[in-house]
Amino acid sequence: MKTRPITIAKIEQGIVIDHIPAGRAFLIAKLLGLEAFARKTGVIIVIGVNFDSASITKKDIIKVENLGLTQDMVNVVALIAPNATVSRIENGQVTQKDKVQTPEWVGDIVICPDSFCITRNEQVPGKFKVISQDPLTLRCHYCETEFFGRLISYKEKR
Amino acid sequence: MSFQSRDIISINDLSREQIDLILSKVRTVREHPDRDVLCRGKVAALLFFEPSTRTRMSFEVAMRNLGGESSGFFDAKTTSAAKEESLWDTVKMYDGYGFDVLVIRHPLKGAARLAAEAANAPVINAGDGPNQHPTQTLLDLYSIQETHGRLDGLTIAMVGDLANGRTVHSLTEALLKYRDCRLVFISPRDLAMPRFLIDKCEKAADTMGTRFEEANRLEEYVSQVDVLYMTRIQTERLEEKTAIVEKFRSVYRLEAEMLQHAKPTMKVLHPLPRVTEIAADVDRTVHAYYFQQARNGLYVRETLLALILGAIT
Repeated sequence: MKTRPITIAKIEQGIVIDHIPAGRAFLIAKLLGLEAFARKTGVIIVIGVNFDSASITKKDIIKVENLGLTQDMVNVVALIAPNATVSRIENGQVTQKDKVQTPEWVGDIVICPDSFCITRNEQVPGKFKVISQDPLTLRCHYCETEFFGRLISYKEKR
Repeated sequence: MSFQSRDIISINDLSREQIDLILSKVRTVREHPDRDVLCRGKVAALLFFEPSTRTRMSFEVAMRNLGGESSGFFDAKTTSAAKEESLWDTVKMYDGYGFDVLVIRHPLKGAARLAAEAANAPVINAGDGPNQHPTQTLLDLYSIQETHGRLDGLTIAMVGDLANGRTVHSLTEALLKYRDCRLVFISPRDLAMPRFLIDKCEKAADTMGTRFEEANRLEEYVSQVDVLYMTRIQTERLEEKTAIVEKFRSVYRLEAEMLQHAKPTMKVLHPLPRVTEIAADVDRTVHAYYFQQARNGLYVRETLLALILGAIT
């Protein structure tokens, strides 16, 4: 099979999120608020979709200039792309590269699906325990509802 | 293992050992020579954001029986919550008055957990919407243990509205902490035990030796069980299906003659109020235990208050 040459812009400073399962980069970009970040700062953002990968058949990749990730942001990546790596780039060089870890708890990045939950009715930041990774199952710290699959909806960062 | 100043929010927060300890202290408090002064000088705040008569009164009486006092509100309409004050602020404010323990009931799930995070004083959950009501679960467990001498290895049938009944959900989760229980869930298909609890029962088969089955005919199980836990078909959840409610109520109704082949030690429990699911003639049988069960609620709440307020260890 002929390999297609792929060129993707290098960045001098920022982060690279690699090994995202194909098709999930846009969701991660949306939840990390990358569009607003680009608009506000004018930085370069590269979103690559359906790249060939040795470990997973197809992968997505995100590169963002001048961005550091908070723990909540890393947790978003970990929930959506449990095998992703996050590299920090300084002066065009990779200075740190870590595989994301599935967190035990995640903060206010998910919306509790139970409309009778206190977090849906008052200004209370959500908190969720990760019960299992496959399938990803969360339990609301407050109302104790366990949920997975399509019931998991993420809060969009604006 | 100390319960002093500890929050009691969910039965899921308690290990088997902790539950056993609480239950073992009920007799200690009931028979304590200084029971009426155990909590002298202590004040409980009863923050009832939705109406409740029994739970509220049993906490009031429990506090009084221990020599303490209670104060609070019993309808959120009379508080600043009606002025859209947040739960967090309301709890913070009452906590600032220096109460020794806060007892909270609220229509929303998770409200008690949030209250516990807002308050310095320990918080007892007296019901957070359809989620948890741990003192009810503890009194159910106490009543079963009191009548059978154990919680392991019993056959317990839960009957009626298993979809919406908070008490049967919590009781099931609590019994999964005990060994070799056989649980029988008897309900119409529309009101069956939720899937997530069935999954938990399946998982407990290997670790705890739990067996369970779902069924829809009460008569077939009366002779096999140690405990028949009856529940009300909740009309408020099925208001558009009056005809179905009537049908369910006629099918899931226990009458004295159905108890002829029950084990002599079998007990009928019910969280009350009952409507039609237990006929009045059952009250006169040796199996009826629901009124003693309700009274046990008082003893269990006294015990929890005494433990949390440090009056006993």
